[in-house]
Amino acid sequence: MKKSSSRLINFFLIYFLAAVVVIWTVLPLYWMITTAIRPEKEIYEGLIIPREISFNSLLAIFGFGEEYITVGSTITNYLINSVYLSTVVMILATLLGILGGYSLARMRFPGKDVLSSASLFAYIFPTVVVMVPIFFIFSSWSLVNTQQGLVLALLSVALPYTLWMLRGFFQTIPIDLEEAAFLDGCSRLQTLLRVVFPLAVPGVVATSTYAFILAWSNVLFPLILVSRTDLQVLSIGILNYMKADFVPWDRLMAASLVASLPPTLLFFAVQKYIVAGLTAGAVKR
Amino acid sequence: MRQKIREALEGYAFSTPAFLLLFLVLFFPFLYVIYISFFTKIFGYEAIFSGLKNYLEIIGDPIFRYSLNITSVYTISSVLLKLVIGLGFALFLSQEFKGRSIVRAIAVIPWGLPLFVVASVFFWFFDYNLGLANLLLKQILNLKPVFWLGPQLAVLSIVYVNVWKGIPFFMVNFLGVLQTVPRSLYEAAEIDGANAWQRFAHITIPGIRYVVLIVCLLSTIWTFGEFDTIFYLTRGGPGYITHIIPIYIYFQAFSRFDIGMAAAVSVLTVPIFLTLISVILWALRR
Repeated sequence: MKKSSSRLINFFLIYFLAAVVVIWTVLPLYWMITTAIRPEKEIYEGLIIPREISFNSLLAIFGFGEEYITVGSTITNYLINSVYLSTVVMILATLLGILGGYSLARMRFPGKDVLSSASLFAYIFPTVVVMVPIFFIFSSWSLVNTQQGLVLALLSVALPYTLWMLRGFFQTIPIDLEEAAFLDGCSRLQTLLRVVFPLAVPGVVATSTYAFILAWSNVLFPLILVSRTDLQVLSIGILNYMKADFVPWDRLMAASLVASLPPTLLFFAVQKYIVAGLTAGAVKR
Repeated sequence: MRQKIREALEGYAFSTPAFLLLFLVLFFPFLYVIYISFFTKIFGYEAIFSGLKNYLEIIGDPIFRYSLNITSVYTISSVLLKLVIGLGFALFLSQEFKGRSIVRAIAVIPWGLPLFVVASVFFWFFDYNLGLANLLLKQILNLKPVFWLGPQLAVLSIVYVNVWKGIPFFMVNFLGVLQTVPRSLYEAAEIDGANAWQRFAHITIPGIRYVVLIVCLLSTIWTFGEFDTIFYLTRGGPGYITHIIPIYIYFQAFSRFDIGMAAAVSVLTVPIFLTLISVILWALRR
């Protein structure tokens, strides 16, 4: 009798705590989603639970629905720029990261340890430290208000990450396989492409996905390097909604929902590879 | 010998593109920020060498000293809260119960969200008239609405946002390392009559302490250097209340166009970051 009642208490305690964790996490997200999918009028009634559902705001941010169209208030262009830039940054950071990360993991050359530490430092160091000089140097190189400039600046965030992570992934691949390939007369590049790369695919995919998320989420560089609206990205598009004298809450939340979907879904897909990441060395012990 | 030289050359061939790029976009700007911090440099005007003038001016600036203070308060309280709540979540979610994987998946969501989305959502969440925070106060708790981003509560609110976004990083890393603590130790301790608290203090803590240290230090660096949330939510205001160092640098550079001053502040943060990173490197090697 006593045992079963303590089990009951335990049961309730566990689900009470589970509810705390879920409510704590979901509350702001609930507010974003329910605002994005309710009629605009209803927002000003102060309802916690929406009475009606409407996709007008989600359509309006893409310019559908006549009454909503005002100049500069759609996010279509920002979204295209974000997808394009993040993809380019992802590809470059992955390619350079594979070559660099492999050399740091496997090859012997003077200065390797310095470069390894440098990539870790670059990854951990906050970008605010170089915000001012990057703006200054990029303006003297005429890279302000260009996509090339933004890609370069975003690589300063994404590349240290891919270098450090891929170095780690390559280190976990058994070296015997590579040695066998060498004996068969493969060159370094052939070994990397034919033996190492196929084994490292999950790690490479996860790393490049997170590089995409890093570029997508960046605020600082588009803020300081780009002032032309046609080149601007989603993070600044959302800032523009927020800066309005009369904030269009429904559209702000609809745009936020759209901006949050790609990184959230991608993160879930590759989460288990990313999580080990930095603390991997320490966790292994 | 020839083999060695060949390998070294290949190594450089593989690593040069990446590090050349990093040199251009990180190490060169880093050297440049140190250099320009010794000049009086207003954007659009000629740079004039002025030695330590920028540094002396900053140290004499009460707003900078306030900024350093509030950054420390904000960073330390955020990290401590993330540590406590993140560890709590991890200990809870390492228990086995039905539906655990769903709760875990939900608890991880904030990690993948971009900071600018988090900031815009909380901007609306904290809205005085119509935000959910005040609606809950009014309609559920029957209390008066408060100015979440006003002078009294702004710091607390940005700490809350930072903690909400940062917990998954702590939780997931803790969940990972909690698995590595051998079960047999707990069983042995239970047989010896150790209670739950003793098991936690003598088995769990020693087993996870290096990961705890690394996670806390990384989070300290990233919280200290994080610009997005506060720029979106309060722009460093009201007044200077949430004027953390990154915001201070931004406004020196892009609102007062005082590149020299902004550079000097950036340089002053470097020793803080370097110290923290050295401790991380030390802990990673343990």
